[in-house]
Amino acid sequence: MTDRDTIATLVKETLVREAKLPMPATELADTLSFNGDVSVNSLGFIRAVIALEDELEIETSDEALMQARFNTVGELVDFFVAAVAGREAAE
Amino acid sequence: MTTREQVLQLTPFPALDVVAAHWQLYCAPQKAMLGPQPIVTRPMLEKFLEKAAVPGPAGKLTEVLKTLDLHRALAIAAREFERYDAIPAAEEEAIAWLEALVDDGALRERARAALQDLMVELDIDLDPIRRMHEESRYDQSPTLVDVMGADLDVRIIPSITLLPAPNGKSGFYRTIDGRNRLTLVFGFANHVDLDRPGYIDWPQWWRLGIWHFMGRLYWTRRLDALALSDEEQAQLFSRIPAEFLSKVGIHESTVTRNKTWRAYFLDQFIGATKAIGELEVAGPVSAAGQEKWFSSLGRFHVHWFLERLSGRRFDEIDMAGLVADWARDLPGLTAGSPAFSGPLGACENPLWNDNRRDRLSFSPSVGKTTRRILRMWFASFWPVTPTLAEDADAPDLAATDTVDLVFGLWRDRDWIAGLRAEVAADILPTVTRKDLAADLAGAEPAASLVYARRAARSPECWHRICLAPDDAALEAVHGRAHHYNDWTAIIGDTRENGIIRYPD
Repeated sequence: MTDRDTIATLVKETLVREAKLPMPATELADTLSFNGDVSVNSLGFIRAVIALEDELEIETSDEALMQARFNTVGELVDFFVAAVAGREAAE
Repeated sequence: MTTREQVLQLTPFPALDVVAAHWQLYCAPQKAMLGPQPIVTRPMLEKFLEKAAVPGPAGKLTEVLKTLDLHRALAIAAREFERYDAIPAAEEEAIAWLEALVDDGALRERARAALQDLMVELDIDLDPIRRMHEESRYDQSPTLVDVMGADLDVRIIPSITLLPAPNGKSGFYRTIDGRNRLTLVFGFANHVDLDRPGYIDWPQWWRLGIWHFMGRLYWTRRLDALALSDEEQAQLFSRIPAEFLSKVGIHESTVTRNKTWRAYFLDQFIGATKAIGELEVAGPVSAAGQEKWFSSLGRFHVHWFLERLSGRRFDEIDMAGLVADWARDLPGLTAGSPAFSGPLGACENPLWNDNRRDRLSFSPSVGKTTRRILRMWFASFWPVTPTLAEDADAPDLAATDTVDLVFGLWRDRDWIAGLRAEVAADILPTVTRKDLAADLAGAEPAASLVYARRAARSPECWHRICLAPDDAALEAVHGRAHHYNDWTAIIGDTRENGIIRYPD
């Protein structure tokens, strides 16, 4: 089973790369807020989420993604941790 | 033009940064992801406030800031607060408490040292702000210089703890001992970079901001001098049809909806003032862009005001007569539904078509991921969720009754043939850069283009079309449209914006 730290690292590295964040992934603490601490371009954010789907081999509907609300980096990590757990349970 | 003596101060103001930092941490409403953010992180703000050590009971500053709102708190922190109206006792208490706080010498010293540490840590460079101010040409409009006064002191207070503009800005224009003083508080995140060609027109944005603050205060004073009673203002307000008050731009629809006759009147005055300044400094194309922009934001009658202010000294304008003329002309001004000649930003306005249906189309070569990203972006951030067009052909924009959002790649020549014809007829004649014009006229341009096109069946609505050489450029140009204009073209690091001239 993929552990949370591994997924968190991947989520943060992908976010930095795809959304072109001006900071290393190691500085993206789970508690940082997308509403003030981290400035993410909206198109870049969506691109990062789609890239993570590919990298983690999960499929999420557009509707589910759009309904999700990610206030912090940790909430984005948790979303993908749950999605990977769902995929692994189904395998 | 009057010969002018300027005094420019560009300096941080530590007590103001304490107020801004505290606001950011404990009072600011949740912001959307969109919009610029400060260079400082939340932990940095906390550390800054810890070093500054605000005296007084815990939670007192939060309570005071929420009582006063950020604009007034910044005015007090900058020592620019003026009382125009009676103030409730609770607010007077908050004002007195905050005035005492910013007068506290020990606090200011601690804040100064903490701010200095932060500026060194973040490698803050204030010189771009000075250049932006100098290049803005805000003082080269003869009409507005007459209003600003012969001697204008400009004080710029860059704040690294405030949200960067456009959200984080405030201005105060006062006359003290016969001299006019403009104080501009400006959220700064090391983001002003005048060396990047084609980057947002910061000098233009800056001068329009200066004129906005100056115009607001000038026309407020002129209106207040009329001493119209509440009843008279309410009566004037009641004559404006609701549609002309509610159909404001998407950017302002929840913020500054016209709520009073004075707010409506001031908005039109400020818009006309800025358009006059822009005409004198930047020329007719830029002025026309401003007029269209204001119109798209709901200042439908800005042209009426422009006609009455143009070519005149503002201090010679008979305000009582102008109000009477406006009341006389209002039935004609509001005879039809509000309509505007809208630039790119107006495409976002969902309030114009009661039964609006937006439709999203992609040319065949647009990649799967880009389609999904844009589809999700529109569903998440656009005021109206568009349906996805399933047609194999490009939408016929001359016949459609939808608002179309079209994304095409140049290499899909057949699919975009109709759009290319529009570009050739409406946009190419207005492109001034020869290399850009030559590229856009070529078979497969390297440039990207986004433009607004009036909907044939609903002239108040606008289609939005993006054309680019590849998927990445398509996404990029979608995000970089210049809202004041009808089209934006990007080639390399250079961007040009312009308007479309219609025969009507």
